[in-house]
Amino acid sequence: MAEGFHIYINPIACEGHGICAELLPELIELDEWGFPILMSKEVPTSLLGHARRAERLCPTLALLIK
Amino acid sequence: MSSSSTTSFPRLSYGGKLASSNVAALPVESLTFSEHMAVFGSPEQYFHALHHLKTQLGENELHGRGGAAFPLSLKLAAYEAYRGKLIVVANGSEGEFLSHKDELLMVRHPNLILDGLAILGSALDAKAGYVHINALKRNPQEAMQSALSDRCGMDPFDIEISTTVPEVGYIAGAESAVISAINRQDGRPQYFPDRPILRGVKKRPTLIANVETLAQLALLARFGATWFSSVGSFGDLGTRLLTVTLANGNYAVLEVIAGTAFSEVFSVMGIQEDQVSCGLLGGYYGQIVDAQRLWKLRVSQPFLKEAGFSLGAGVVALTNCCPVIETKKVLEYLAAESAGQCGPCYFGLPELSKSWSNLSDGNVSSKSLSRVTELCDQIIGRGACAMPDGAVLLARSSLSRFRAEILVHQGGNCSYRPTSGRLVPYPSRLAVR
Repeated sequence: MAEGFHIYINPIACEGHGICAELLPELIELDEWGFPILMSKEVPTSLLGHARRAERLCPTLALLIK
Repeated sequence: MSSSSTTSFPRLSYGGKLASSNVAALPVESLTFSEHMAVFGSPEQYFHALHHLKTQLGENELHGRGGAAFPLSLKLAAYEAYRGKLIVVANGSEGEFLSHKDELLMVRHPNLILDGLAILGSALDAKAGYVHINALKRNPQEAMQSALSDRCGMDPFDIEISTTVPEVGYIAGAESAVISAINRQDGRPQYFPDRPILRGVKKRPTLIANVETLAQLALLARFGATWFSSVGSFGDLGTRLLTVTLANGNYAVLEVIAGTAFSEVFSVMGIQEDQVSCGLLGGYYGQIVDAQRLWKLRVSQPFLKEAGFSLGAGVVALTNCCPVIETKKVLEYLAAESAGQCGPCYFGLPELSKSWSNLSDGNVSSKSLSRVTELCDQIIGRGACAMPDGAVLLARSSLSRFRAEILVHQGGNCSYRPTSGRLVPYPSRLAVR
């Protein structure tokens, strides 16, 4: 896991606010109940800023970038 | 059973009834501490023997018997960096409703499990140990408690009994749920994506191993790799405990030499292929297999993996009902057992169960079929524990394996007769309860 950043979603903390999918539609879509599905775990450098913003703005702090 | 003994079987069912040269029934009587010492000898010379343990495991991999079949040597290696800091747990929570082997093993061989825990824990200088038991099962709790008092502090670290939170049910045996219960939290699974678990029991690194794995380890450490692997075939070594459950709820716990044909196991139980329509292999996270196929499979994890199956925690449940209806029942059960913590499980499993009932109840169309697939694709890999994945695996496999029977269900038909009164009769001669 040394190279690059990855997205992790804590499925217990996640309450399905869906903000991550609004801010990072390139990597996250929502299932029919409004919970995030990762299209890719890896965050390309070009999207790192957006991913960080999604991490910061998740109301339940369920999104982690590391 | 001495190391020089040529009797390599039965092992965990030592003293039990040999049903065939490859299958033995586990007796229910508990071996007292003095009987245990007389049969197996003292474990003390294997305490603090990391090198010895690594050698034995190196020559002969011991795969975990809790369901995930994880190689014990890898677990040992992963926790070695945390020597002197860790907590070890013997997991006997047996949340799998169809499994009874752990319960029976704890009653029969409490000291062998404790030996295994002490040998593994002391090799890593563990701080403390726990034996984690299903709160609803009194007998193993009493047997383990009594064994612990008989050992009068022989073990190199303190060992305590802990119990599951009864309301949690099926998923109480998941590692993160075990840690939650020992830490006196709600006993539900937690989000622990990384292994090894570094902040587990009392926020310490926590190594969890199934009770059968530990009992097998206790034998392996004592008698050595050559003895251990002197039985077994089809890529699997040693013996395995198996719970064979019948649709009426009766069951037998058997010790089986790895690689034995399921046909032999069923045959010693007096069950013929034509009495059974299908079996659930691997427990509720497993797959339903038609009898014809099941009778050709073998009790070997590598063999089953190759064939696309898993032994799970050593569970096979037989029925003579319709596999499509059986799938429906299992999916209903899993949906009801969700801890309700993760959205995809809480919302997804009831929906998956509903979509399957829809097929089973006669509404079979390309739309209702693809609804099952669509739900599986959405749910897979998205829970904190393995529950959603278990349900998806079952639904996907039944969808492809029993497609023809699903199509028969269109309009409310079924190739099998109604379930009532058609359960496989349980043979009493191998009754273990």
